[in-house]
Amino acid sequence: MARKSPNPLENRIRRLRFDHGEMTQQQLAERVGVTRQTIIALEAGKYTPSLLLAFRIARAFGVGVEDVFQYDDADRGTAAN
Amino acid sequence: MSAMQKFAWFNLAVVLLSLSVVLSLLPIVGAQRAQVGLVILGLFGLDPLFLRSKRGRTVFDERDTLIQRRSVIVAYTIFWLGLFAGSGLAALSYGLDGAVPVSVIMVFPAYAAMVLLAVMSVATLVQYGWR
Repeated sequence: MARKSPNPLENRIRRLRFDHGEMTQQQLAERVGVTRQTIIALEAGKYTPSLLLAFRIARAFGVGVEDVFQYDDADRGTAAN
Repeated sequence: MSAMQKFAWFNLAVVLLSLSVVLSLLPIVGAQRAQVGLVILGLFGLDPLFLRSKRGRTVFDERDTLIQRRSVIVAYTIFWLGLFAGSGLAALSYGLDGAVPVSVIMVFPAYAAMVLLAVMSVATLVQYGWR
């Protein structure tokens, strides 16, 4: 049986940073108005951002929220039918 | 290390320093006079310096707010449990018809602040992962 990830929200922040001219964590943090530690926690999947922060991060990369964050609803029994 | 972590480490250091001064003075000047070590708690007044903004950088964000909120809840719970346990201890120490000395009442707020800030700091550091 596959082990469930503790955080159902996965993200591509690290990938997107590198795709955007190797943007540093500090640069992204300054753009979205959070601390670098929060970006580190987000990338590590240790923190789930607020909806507002999720939108800010997506806007910083010029993409939609679902291009940055993916909700993994497999085996969680919470998916809409 | 984030500003909140520095803030928590500083508060924990102030509590430990204050306690160690009181405990080291205890055998020399007695329990009542040893409480002078509690003046070190005045260093809590420097706390706002940790959360001032630096060159437009964000030092406190939504994650810090969430961590702080959880820490306050933990500290508040421990504080009230401690208060009720302390009340029970007072009855055991001084007897049901006894009188609590004014000197004990005087230092009570300092020890209450110490417990609150120590628990809050430890809870904060645990949530950040001690790093």
